[in-house]
Amino acid sequence: MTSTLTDAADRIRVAKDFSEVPGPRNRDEGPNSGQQFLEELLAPAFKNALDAKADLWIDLDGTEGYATSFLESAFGGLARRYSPETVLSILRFKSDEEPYLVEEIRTYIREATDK
Amino acid sequence: MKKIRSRRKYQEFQQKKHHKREARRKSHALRLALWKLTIGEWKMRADGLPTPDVVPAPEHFSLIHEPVKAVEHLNEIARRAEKSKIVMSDMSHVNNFSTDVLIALIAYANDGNRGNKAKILVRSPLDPELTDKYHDSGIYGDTNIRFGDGSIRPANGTIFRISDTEVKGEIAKRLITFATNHVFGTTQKLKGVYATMIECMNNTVNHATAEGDDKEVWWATVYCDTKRQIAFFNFLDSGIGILESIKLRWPDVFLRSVGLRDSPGLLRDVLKGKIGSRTGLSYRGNGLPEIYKRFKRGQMSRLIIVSNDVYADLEKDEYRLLPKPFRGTFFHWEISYDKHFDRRGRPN
Repeated sequence: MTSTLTDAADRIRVAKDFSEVPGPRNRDEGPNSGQQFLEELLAPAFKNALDAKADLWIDLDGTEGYATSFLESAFGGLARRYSPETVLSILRFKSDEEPYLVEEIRTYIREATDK
Repeated sequence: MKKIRSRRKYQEFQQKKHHKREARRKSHALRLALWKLTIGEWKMRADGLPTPDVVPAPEHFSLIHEPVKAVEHLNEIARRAEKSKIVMSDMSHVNNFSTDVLIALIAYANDGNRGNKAKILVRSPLDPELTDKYHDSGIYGDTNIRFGDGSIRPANGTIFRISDTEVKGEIAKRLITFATNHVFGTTQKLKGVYATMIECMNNTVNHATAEGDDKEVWWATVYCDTKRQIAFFNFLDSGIGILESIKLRWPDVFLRSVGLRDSPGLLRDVLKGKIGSRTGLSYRGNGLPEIYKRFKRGQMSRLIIVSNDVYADLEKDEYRLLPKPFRGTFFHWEISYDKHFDRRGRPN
């Protein structure tokens, strides 16, 4: 699903704000992990957006690509901190280069459990 | 000594000197090849080191095309490396080989977890084209392996080799940049290849190490055939293999123990996401199915996986049981200009 960014919205551009080469799931597995992205960028921005009752746009374009473990750790991890419903109500995605990623991420959020 | 005052003459003099040195080196290498001796071996003889235990490689030495013979040879090398001081894979007579076997040999030679103390040598092919391909691989190791002329040099030409024990996106990017520059003439992003490379690294880092062992090392190469505009990616580790790293449910354990659940079927189920991760967490274990998905989306072609006793050619949907198990996990895939790029030269 392709979405468009609104100028007014808060947004994270993964390639620009984090890294063009997203890495593994956890910090101990290598650099630019999903865990690092979650802790340093996504979770603080999400909290701000939640407090302001605003949308948070995630721009996935411009990177070299993504492994599932990175996406699951970041977005699934966020859903494990809050709840899938809360996360889905705040996050909006832009992925023109790999449109299928948006639905995959939504699945990771919906299926994020500790079991 | 005559002084050379002109710059041009000086350059000519230097060039002549270089050509003479090259000709001398080549004739020496040729002489040694005819004696079936690499320069590395010759140096070892001069150092008084023992004669290597020679194992002839299969005539078509390739994990992709001839997995049974290749695995047999690699296992024999590994077996002898545990006993002898120096083992040699003799490739002098081979008709063809693919670069995957070279990284397999390097991985085996540097496998600290299996306690390989032996040097593993390779006698280079005599066929001039194959010798070029062999030398071009830049596989001259600096630890337990010494190839061809015995020197150590970085990967040049059309083959790029790299190894690590972590998941590093930067390395995946370098391999892709190398491949796209050589094969397509420009740097391109290959998102499917990048994701696959990261999933392979993840697989090694999280699942390949046996309990109590040091971190497994993964090895990756990309070989570019500039004439046919194809990049061949290989990824390998010498860990416990996919099938030893999965968590089976009790019915599968039972069926496997009575021979009703075979390895090819298991690997097929792992790739289709029907078997979960050994962590037991429902949201883990998506890595190998993701590789399969990327392949199905057409982001790469000719995906081949060799792990434990299974050879899988996913393009042909062929899952074969190997008579002897492969030590580790091997992935191969290809990117070709015709299949993966549009008319404007952008990835499909």
